[in-house]
Amino acid sequence: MSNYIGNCSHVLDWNNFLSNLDQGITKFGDPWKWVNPLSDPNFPITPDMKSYVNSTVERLGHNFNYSSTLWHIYRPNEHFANEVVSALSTHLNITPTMANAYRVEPGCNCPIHIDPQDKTDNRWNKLKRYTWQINQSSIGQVLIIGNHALHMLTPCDMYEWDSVDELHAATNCGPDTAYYFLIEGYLND
Amino acid sequence: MINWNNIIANLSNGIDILPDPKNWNLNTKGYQEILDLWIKAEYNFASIKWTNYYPDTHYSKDVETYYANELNVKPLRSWISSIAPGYTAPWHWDVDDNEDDYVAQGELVRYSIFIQDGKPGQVFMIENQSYYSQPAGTIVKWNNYKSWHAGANAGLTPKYMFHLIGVVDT
Repeated sequence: MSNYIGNCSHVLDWNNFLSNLDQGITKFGDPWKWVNPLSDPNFPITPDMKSYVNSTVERLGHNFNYSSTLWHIYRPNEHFANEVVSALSTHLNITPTMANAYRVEPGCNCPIHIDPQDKTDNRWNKLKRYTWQINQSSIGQVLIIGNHALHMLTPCDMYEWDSVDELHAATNCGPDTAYYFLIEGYLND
Repeated sequence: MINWNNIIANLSNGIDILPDPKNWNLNTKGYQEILDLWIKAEYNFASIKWTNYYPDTHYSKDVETYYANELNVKPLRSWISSIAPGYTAPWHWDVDDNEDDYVAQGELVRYSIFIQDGKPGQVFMIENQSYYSQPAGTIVKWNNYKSWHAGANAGLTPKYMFHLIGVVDT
């Protein structure tokens, strides 16, 4: 489940943000390819990654059509300025631990999964996670978080996840590419 | 009462709907238009597949009769649709070779019925409305039988729905 917490369209020039994104990092195929350091050197490696990927593969089973699996990730300092994260963190009053933008094109899926978690960090259960669609939505663009599907979103309407380890997915069976932003961090005192 | 689990378990091989124009009756208005939209959007055709099952061929027509009575509809067409994990049904409206015959019989109504509890990753959309985690038995009446709709399965198990088109039984 996720809860609406407000709109961040005024925090950044999001059209400018989108117009400056390039190809990004391509995620495709089965979960072993998602975490391949050759294609994504900055993928956050957490303890017991092998077990994590195995469990993700097992959850999806052997019949999943991985030819539909395709999404793109953009990271701060790599694909967009760190100032973006700073502005959003100030707006949310958080100390950020992770931020990414995503692109999901027509006919593509990010299959249901849980992101790798470092639960050995004793502050893990204090992490907050927020997500929103950046661009104008259209039919078929869906972000799934827990037992909730977000569809036809107002651009920059922000949703707080119930937990950072919720099952989630994205799918796009519509005509237009969807762009999302996700940021995670600790609430400031 | 319909035992959907039993019906789903006994479905024989259905008809796969694929984006292959060789299998589409392009003489019927609408098919080419939809195909052109998908091509223009550079849609990932590798994700397109859904499977339809029809009464009397793949399951008992009693199902159609049951819901027609429940919904006070004279049935014209019904089917079960399925999307397997990792596949999508892109946005489209349902083109039907026999639409003119149906329309001649009265005002068409359409219902979609969730025949299983919704599972993670399975989503269905009609225009601006999305349906997710719906409990089995949920019935949706469409505002317009020709509405744009779509479905996707980014989840773990096949997603099944039942659809009924008819005219109000007066």
